Amino acid sequence: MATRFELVAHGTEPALLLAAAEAALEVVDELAVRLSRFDPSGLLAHLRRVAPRKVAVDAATLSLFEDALAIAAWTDGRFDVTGGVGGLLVHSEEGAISLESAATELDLGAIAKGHALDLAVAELRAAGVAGAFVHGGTSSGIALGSAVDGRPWRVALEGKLPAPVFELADLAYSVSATHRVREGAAERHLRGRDGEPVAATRTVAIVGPSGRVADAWATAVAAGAPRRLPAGPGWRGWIRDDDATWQPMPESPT
Amino acid sequence: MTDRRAFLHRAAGSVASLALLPELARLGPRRLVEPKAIGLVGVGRQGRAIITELQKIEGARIVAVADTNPARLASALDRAPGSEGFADHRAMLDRRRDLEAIVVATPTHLHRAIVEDALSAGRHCFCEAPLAHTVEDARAIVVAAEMSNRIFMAGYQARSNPVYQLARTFFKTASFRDFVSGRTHYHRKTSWRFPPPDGMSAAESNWRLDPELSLGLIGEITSHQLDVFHWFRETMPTEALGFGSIQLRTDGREVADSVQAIFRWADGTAVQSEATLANSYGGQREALHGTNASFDLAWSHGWMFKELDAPTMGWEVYALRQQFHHDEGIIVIADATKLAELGQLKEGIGLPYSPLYYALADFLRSVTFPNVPVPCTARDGLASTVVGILGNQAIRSGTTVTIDPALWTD
Repeated sequence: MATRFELVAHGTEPALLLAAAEAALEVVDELAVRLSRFDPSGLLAHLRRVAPRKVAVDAATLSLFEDALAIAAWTDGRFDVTGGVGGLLVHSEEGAISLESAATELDLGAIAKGHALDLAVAELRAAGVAGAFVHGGTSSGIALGSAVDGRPWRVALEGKLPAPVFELADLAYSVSATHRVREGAAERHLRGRDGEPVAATRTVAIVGPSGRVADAWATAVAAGAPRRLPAGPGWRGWIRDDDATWQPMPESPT
Repeated sequence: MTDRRAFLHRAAGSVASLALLPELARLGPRRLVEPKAIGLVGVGRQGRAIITELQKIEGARIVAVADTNPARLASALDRAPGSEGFADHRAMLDRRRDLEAIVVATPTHLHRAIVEDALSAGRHCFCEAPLAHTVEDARAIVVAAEMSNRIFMAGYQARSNPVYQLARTFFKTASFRDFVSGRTHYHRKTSWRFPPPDGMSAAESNWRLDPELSLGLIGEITSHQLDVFHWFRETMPTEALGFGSIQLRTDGREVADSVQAIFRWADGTAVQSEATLANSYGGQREALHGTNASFDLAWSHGWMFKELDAPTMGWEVYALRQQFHHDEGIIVIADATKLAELGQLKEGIGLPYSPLYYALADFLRSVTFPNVPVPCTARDGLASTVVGILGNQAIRSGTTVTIDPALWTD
């Protein structure tokens, strides 16, 4: 994921906290390999090698791919892990996934970080940690429980005032921005360092119960998907165009 | 038309292929000719990794998982969809008659009873290494394996690793020539503690920190690295000496977080071993020094460093190289000939699958074709386990410990 993950946690047993933190970051390390586009020993490389055969996966990975396809549909294809090249097939009943062909280019870059945060926090929770904050490159993060003072964790967005300040307890956030670039005669939007930035055009912040949905949704809206929140309770969002002030996003129609 | 360069390239490839022949087609995905029903006993950290790797072997069906801890078992059932969960491995063996093979990934001190039960129930068995925490238990596992007519494989994974297999072919030739010395290096900054799941005590979860159950860093980690030397050299050390200390993890533990040991061979050569949980530089690797070359092996990658006066092999002209300060390493690439023909030599750097994947695939190949020997037999596993146990004794006692080959040959 080419991102530095960090976490802080509080509790009464330092040795247990350290062990839990190591376990959580080990989950992130495992996923960085498993979901990498480039690592030859990862799941994506294996899927390409054996395409179009099905590969059994664990429940969490299956959910990741199910969400990826659902978000692609909800965002009118603005979020698409295949980049429009080839096909991804999720066989939910069999607990397996497959690619249409070896030419399918999967890129989980806009959802894997949030997924890794979800699983890292699940690891902390399973270890009995009641209060922690985990982030990946600061642009995405999850608050587990409350801060050491008993209040929600606070995350401020940078930018002109009044910038939103998230108060997070058992919630995830993700921030994504696009930059306008010229590529030949056509203009397209690229995200962050994926392309040479010329001028920021849109920044989106999403807060909600799922790290991976927040991650993917922020990317999709920044890339031009309709300005609405993910369906379901607990979602909030803000959007800023160019240098304007932050505006709250409306809920999705049910 | 064939130009001179292309001709030379092919010619060089054909020379290399003589050396690389055993490695061909070993890198890619494995597929069983017929499905195999597999049961997994122990689904902690290593068990989870085993599930992930088995899922990449087409035809390997994880149909049952067993663990005494309900939380771990529930998590494993999520990871292996369609499998059946058992709190007791004996119930799994009794009720799942379709099971052909068992993979044992429990804490080291629990291996013996499970392996004995699995083999006596007529199942093939892969047992993680080290085989046991005592010589007595490890020897009992070998007796059970050799008395059964089932396949048994010890989980010293390097023997299945294509990079290591290729390095070993060079080790056996004039490319390496005579062994001078060796070194094992394991640096990982971690507490070596694991948070207990619901229903498990911290002590039970952290058996590696219990001096009565743990073989320490030398036995649990370094024995895998020493096995590389045992396998390459086909001889075993005759004595061990070493010491350990707690350099960083001052949390009440007694098991050293940093150890150093020397394993001496009868011919006067030695392997120095170092392992620490207080520093991460260099990771895990083995160095083998010969009179014509040295190997630096790092599990998924490997390099050969030639001496200036060593004979040149034709294929070396086309080998990929990497600079390490003043030394230039030839990158050890399995399937190099085939990849070179495809113009994809660079893509061959590193392994496409983990060493664990290849070990499990080798085991299942032998289950399918019983006349194909496993790369690491019970007795191979016993020898390296014993060296790890005695190395740990040397470190804990501060004395030189004699390594008696009768412990694994009798």
